[in-house]
Amino acid sequence: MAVRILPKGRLSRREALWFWLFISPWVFGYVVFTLGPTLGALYLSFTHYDVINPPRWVGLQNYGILFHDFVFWQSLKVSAIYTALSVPLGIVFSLFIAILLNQKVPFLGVFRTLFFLPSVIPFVAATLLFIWILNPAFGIIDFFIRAFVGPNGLIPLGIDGPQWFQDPFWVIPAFTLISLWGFGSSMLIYLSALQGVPTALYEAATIDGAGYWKRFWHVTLPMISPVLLFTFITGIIGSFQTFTQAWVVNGGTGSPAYASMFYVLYLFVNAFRNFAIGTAAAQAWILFIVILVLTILALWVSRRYVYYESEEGGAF
Amino acid sequence: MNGVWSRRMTRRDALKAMALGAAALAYSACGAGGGGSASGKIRLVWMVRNDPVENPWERDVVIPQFEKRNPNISIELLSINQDDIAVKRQAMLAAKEPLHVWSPNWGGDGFGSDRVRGLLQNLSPLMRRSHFDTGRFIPGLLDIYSANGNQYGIPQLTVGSYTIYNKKLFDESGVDYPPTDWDDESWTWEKFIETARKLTKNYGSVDKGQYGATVSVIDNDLESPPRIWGQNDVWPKDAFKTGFATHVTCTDERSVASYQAFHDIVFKEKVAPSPAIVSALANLGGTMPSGKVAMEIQGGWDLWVLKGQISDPNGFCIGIAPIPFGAPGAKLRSVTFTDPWSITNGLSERYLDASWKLVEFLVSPEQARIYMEKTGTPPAQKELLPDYYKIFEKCMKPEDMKTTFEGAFTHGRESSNHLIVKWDELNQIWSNNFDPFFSGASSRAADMLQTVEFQTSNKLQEIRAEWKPAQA
Repeated sequence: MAVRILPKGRLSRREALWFWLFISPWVFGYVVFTLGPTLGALYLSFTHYDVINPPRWVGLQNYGILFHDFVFWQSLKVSAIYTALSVPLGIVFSLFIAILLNQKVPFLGVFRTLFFLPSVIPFVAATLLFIWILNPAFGIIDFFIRAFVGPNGLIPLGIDGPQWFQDPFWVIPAFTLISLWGFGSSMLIYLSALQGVPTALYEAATIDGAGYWKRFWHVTLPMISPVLLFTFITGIIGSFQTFTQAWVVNGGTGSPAYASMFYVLYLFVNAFRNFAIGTAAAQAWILFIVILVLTILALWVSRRYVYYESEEGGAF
Repeated sequence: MNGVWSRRMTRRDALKAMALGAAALAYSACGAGGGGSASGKIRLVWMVRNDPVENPWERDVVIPQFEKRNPNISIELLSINQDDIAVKRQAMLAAKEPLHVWSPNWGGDGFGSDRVRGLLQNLSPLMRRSHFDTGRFIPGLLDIYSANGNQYGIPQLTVGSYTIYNKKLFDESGVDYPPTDWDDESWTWEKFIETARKLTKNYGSVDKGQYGATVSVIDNDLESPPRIWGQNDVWPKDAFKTGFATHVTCTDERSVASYQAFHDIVFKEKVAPSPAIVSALANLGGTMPSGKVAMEIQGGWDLWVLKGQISDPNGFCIGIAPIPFGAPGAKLRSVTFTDPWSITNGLSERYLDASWKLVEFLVSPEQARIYMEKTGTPPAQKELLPDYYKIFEKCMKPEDMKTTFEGAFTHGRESSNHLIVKWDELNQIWSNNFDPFFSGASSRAADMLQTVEFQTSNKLQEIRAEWKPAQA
């Protein structure tokens, strides 16, 4: 069959046409469902809008309201503290379990399934479970604390155990515990990253006299550092967007004393309880900027610490 | 093929077919979402809350009977989780989706906010036109939902707050029941604590604990504990009528004493379960339904929540008593809760007439009786009250029930929840201050109320600045 050769310009135009034809469903979806609403939210952030009446242009008023609103600053603080606690702890915990599950031990498949199992439980169910586990009167954790160091415990130190969700100090650690419950996905990512580290590197290091810690520090960590960076950044984004657990625990009040008023929870409350859609849109854009800055910062700092095999240089 | 089908379709045919298709589409769309049909039948959307007690009445009684009497009107029942009703309603109204009859007090900010937002139809002309009998309602109830001489809601149910008690636990401990008369000044807070003490066993025990009493800020209404101590001026005088206030007063001696007493009943008197135990009991069905609590100061919804216990062979009898006197002379100790039916503002005359027909039907003596009997909820109409008391006669003499039940209205005021604009935003402040206060053993009411007064007053001023001009 004779092949018809098209002129170069026509060929590229035809290729471009096919490209746009095939990518058009995505472009349509992105423009209509992502870019459009994003820009729409930017517009709404400069308006007073209560859903019932048409938006009224108010300029920067919503941003001004937020900067003078102590609950806004509190919600930012709550999310920042939660992120600072849950992201590093989550990485360390998941990596630790992934390393354990990367050993050659009997019933490895069973262990891997068991450790992954909690992450398939929906957050709502897991949170309800933790409301019970952390109940100061009936919860199993406080039961053990009382049994060991309570006023009548084995070592009677008079410690009764925290009030968890009812105590402004303990409420974020309680939410952090819930977040650790869902470590399965990142554990799986680390496990695959660990399995991707060439064994030759470990053998060479062992020949050079490196012990377990040195192999871990100088071989494992640098080799999985891109994955660590990925989970670190997605962890920051995810924890700043925490909503479900807080909603289940406090129903949107942020109680006690606004100590569990997560940023996105307050955004939701403003939008769908207080019907201050403009203020909520401003909050959404501020969150976008905060996450963008943190991500850029993380990427900038990571240049010193993350090793990419495909690139020259890079050190750990 | 032959005849018309064998002919090739011309451009004109295609256009005709498209026009026909568009017309059919428009017709079907009108039938499905527009609320009307070619036969002139009106479709009303009636929004209710998800409630296993009320929904069978709405679905199985009201709709068939109403549609039978009004063959030109059909009803679509829109049953929504109470917490989500406000969002759903707001979204529907914004999207111009049909929504006709609903209750503003279910979910969100309540009547006060919806009135100011202009969502509620003035019912007064409709009432005048149909010679609506207002005399059958409990005195004062219609006034709650009127403003500037206009009526915006017709009461469906009403209830006060009471000391609700488990008679079985009283009998087992040989303790006398509380009195029934709201003016009986022997029923003091001290007497309440003393009674609770006699009924408390194994305090703090996970499985064997029995608690003499439990108290909470009823419906989280800031004003409810101070009223028991005789402080009736937490809100400025005209706040419940206008929906707006510039401040609250809750740092006075009586308010502080009331909140401190509510706190001390757990941590000092140790006759009430701690918040941790309350939340555990809530997961087991609720404090009173658990059968482990002898008395609860609560809104009267416990009456229909606990009604099933009366007929349950393993259940218990319930009684109601006045809320005790926190201080001598504290008359208005009850918070009352009245839920009305309202109609969306701005409907066309045809839909407005049909919606009014539905509201009239819902509050007709006949339907109000069926509603009361099916659900156990207290009626808003005087003549039904004697029959309401009979529902509980196995546990309480109807005359005693009458004294206590009706006393709550002469000794109470409507909840701020229904009347203050943007109440939900205020509630967020109160929840955040009440929760740590009531769970901290060493919390001081004076400190907590200082913060509450400051934050609430600030928020009220913000709300007033934002909403008052819009209202004007």
